[in-house]
Amino acid sequence: MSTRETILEVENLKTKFFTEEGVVRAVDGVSFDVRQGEIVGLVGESGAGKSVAVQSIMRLVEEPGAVVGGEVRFKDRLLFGLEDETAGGEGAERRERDEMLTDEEMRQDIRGREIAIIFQDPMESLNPVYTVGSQIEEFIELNRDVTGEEAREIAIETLRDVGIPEVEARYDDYPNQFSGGMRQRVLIAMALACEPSLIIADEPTTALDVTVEAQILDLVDDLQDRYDTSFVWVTHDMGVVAEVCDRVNVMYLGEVVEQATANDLFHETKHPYTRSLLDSLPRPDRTVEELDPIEGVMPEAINPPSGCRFHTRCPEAREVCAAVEPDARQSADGADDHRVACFIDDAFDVGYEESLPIESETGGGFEASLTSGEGESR
Amino acid sequence: MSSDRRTAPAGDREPDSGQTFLEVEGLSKYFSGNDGLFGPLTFEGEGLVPRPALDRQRVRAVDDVSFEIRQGETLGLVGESGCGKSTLARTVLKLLEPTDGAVYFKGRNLADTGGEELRRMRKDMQIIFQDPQSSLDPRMKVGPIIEEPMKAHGMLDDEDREARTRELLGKVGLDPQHYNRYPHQFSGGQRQRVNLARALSVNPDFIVCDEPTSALDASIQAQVLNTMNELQDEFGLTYLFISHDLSVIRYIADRVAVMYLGEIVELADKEELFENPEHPYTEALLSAIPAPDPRSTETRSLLEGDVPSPIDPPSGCRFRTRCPKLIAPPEYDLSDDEWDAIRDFTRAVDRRSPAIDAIEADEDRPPAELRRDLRGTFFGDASLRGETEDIVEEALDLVVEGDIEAADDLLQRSFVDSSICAREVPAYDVENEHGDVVHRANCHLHRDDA
Amino acid sequence: MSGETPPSTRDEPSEIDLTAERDESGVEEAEMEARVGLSYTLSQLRRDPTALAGLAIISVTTTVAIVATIDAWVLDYWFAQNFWYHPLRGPHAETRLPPYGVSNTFFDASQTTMAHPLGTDNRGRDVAVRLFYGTRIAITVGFLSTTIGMVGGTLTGAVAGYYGGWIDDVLMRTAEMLYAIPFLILVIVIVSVLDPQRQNALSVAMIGVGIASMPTFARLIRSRVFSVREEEYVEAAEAAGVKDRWIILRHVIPNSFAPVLVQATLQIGVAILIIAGLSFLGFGAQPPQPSWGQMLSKARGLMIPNPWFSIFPGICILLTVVGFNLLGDGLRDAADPRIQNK
Repeated sequence: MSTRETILEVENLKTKFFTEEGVVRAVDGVSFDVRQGEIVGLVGESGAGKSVAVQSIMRLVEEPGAVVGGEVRFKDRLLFGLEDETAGGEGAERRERDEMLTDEEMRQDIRGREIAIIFQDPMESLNPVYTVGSQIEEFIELNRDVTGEEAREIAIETLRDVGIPEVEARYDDYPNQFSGGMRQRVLIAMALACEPSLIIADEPTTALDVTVEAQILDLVDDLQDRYDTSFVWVTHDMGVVAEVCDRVNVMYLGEVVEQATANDLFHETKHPYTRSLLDSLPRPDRTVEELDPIEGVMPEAINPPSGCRFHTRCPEAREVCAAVEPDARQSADGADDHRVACFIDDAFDVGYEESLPIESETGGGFEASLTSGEGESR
Repeated sequence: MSSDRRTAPAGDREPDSGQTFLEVEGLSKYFSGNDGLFGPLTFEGEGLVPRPALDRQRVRAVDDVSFEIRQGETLGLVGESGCGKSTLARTVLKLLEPTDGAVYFKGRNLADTGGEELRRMRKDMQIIFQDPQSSLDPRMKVGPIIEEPMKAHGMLDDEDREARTRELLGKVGLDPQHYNRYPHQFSGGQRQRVNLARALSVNPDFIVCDEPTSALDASIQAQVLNTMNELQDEFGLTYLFISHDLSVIRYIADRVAVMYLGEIVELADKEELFENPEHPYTEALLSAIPAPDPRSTETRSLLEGDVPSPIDPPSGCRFRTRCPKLIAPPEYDLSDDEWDAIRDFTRAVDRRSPAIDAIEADEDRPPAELRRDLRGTFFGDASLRGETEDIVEEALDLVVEGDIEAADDLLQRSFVDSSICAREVPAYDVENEHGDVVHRANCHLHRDDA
Repeated sequence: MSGETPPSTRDEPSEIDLTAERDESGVEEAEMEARVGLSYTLSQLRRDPTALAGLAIISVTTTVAIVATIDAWVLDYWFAQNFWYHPLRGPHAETRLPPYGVSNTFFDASQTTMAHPLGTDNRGRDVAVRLFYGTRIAITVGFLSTTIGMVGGTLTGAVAGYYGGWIDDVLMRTAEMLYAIPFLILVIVIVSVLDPQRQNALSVAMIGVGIASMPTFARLIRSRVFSVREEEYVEAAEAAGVKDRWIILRHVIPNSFAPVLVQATLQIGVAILIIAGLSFLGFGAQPPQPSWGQMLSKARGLMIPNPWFSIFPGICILLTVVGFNLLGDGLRDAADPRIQNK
């Protein structure tokens, strides 16, 4: 799979929100890529910045937020990029590069056509006052050069593809007449209708029951085989990650802390955050006597901890972790493509071993900043 | 205790050990969607003057549910959304008036109580809700929120109440200094801890937890679950823990009840239920959870279709319309493969699945070819025998002609209606593999002559 | 916030903790108020110039009303004694004197005087002073009748919405029946029933307007209560065994109150208008008690050639009502999270 062409490349992406309370560094230097036909996971707890990251890729970040740095390349086109990254410093105004797509081009050529997006709540993505059929039809007419009958045919065919029963009878039904699982299928159909090369799925199964989720995951698997579409799969559910993803990026507080194939991530875990996350999961397949959760809550992205952002909650934290910020590097003893941002790894040489452990600052899960939101910072 | 609906009382139900703390017997809760002055009035028929009629359409959210909870244990109640688990929780606490049945809490039937007596009994049973956002009044400070139940039951004076509240805040893992803060100043996990403190304030014995951690992140969920476990030990609490998440249930519960469409389909000791599930729905549910391990190679058995409407649930076993193990009617002599094919075909027609739908919509190809394809899709080249073959052939004809309704009718009549699954409500106890608590698995696969 | 602490005290951690604690319970807490609720609504209002204009008008009118009340009760009608009739010519002042600087067929502009800036009426009473005392009635009546309507309507609506079922049916169907009768006619019926002799015409008119406006409030809060009662904190209180009365007063009403407050502001304007109308028809304030509506009523036969008899009370009513409406609209926008002008 590694020989396949890379279609999406995100490098050092930075998105900030300029709020009354201060500047929220929602996405702070995220890099990853997606190759043809693979499913790449973006996993983390709420507030980690995963939704903002995908919005930034699609250039859908709204006021008071803005993408302030980095580069996003899709195939050979520049979705986002600024002039002269190195000069100027933090505060300076930087111009967008000429080759960067205009808003109009983004709308016409990229969104829907090349990159489709599926949201968590299918009810919010469908307009309740129009029939399901007409919405898909309109979407197809907008993005493919077909009209009327032809668009309707494509719509019906795609709906049937995603397993909607009685398509023609239900074509003129309204979204509320569909069950949650069926609505999510409709959204997937909509995403597929224009045969995009990449689908961004933002927590697409979170609102669904397990049996319905299983149906959808199965469907995605099946469709991916047939269409060879790539996916960026945003989720907080490690189970889903294990199930569908080929490669995974674990995010914590706006940064990618670990990047590996799904297998390596679960079985050769390198970053303490990933390990803690896995340890705090109750298991369906075996009885766990005692969960071992990460202490405290995720700090706010307005004023993130110095050095490694996880050091305030990390069981392995040493003094050096608070002083120096680790970048995500190829792990010294890991497989190819296993990147980790933690000084424990031998890829770093900052004197972790000699550094003294930090006294744990957190107690029973309340002493960390009071208002720190578990809510997604949008 | 002995209920006549048990068609096959396998073995004795556990005798009352004197430890029964809460007993629910034949509890039902129906909602009628229209309860206004003229609510039940509907109009039937067409024409200028429609006939008025009384509408008796009711949503059978919880239907004839029985179980018991012993002192100090955690009963996990698991099911998908819409299965009636939240309604059950509220009906058990008599926050909703039960339509039928009894709830014995420490020997007193809650269904018979009301007014002031019920209000006083509420001191001993509390509830924690799912949504940490909406379960705390945004206009009240945390201190008064926690004190409110104590005040309602006339516990302590103002000063002692405040002291106790501060102590409770510490117990649930918050800072006693947070007494004067507003709910919105807390994160979701912390708010859920405030909920815990409020529930604990009046020293209850029994707490119903309605998806208390579903809205929380994994690491926060683990923290809260651990706290709940500790509190249970410290205060000798009994939990009815409701969740859609089998992993959470496996972690926290001692015994587990699985609900489907308003009924309990399986009830067993935790270990027994997870390791030795005896109801096809439980099996399907277990196999549907994605395990956090990419190496797990378990093949999933997918449930098809949606949950039927609780207004008009299927007869007999409610899971039969989706059950992968639907029992063949006794009058046909079918091999397993044959029955599987027939069942799948029957379901596909009933659901107007895409395969059937495509045949109906296809106008280009000759019917004979469509028919061959259809038969190939569902039956391969296997040939059926005698009566079965005739019925399937007739159904195929009907589908190709476009009269799916008639085909559906024929198949349902021939293959489903006479199955035991459609005729009788299942109620069985089965042998244990783990533990010694009664394992109830309401599936006809466990009937004696099976 | 605790960043202002001088560096020297930073050496001792406990010191910092103390400061932080104190600060948080004071300033920070106020700032961290949720983005719903009254204080947030008011902070939004501050950015809305039209609403502020409304607020200004209301403040002026209310101040005038308060001054007039003090004058009547404490100063023994000092204003009336000094300005009601012409200060120099006593009760035998000119009748129908035009406002200052205006002439008509009987008087030319030189005869008008600053002593009667808005002229005098057909009995020689100063129009400005009558308007001044009339403010009292308008404002009192506006506030009191609205309070009656708001309290009654809120309680009824909250009870109906909280319990639902037949209680809701009975209360709300009754309210709807009241709603079906034109407002003014309803008030007149109530006034006629309560006070056939018109002994306390004004108070009864006020109560009448209050009762007639109850259905509006009841319906408004009921629809909010329907959603609030589904909130889990209400259910939690119920499950904890808290008494219904307490739940309604402590949880349900405070959390459903915002739209009621907006409606009340608008209703004050309506009430002022209605009472003016009633006075015009002879049901409200009785002569010689000066009220704007009654001044209008008396002026109706004298419009020509004395338009100022009606113009000035008209302007007063208009301005006050517009003031309340502007503020009400502003409040409504501010309370609606969908309309955010940032």
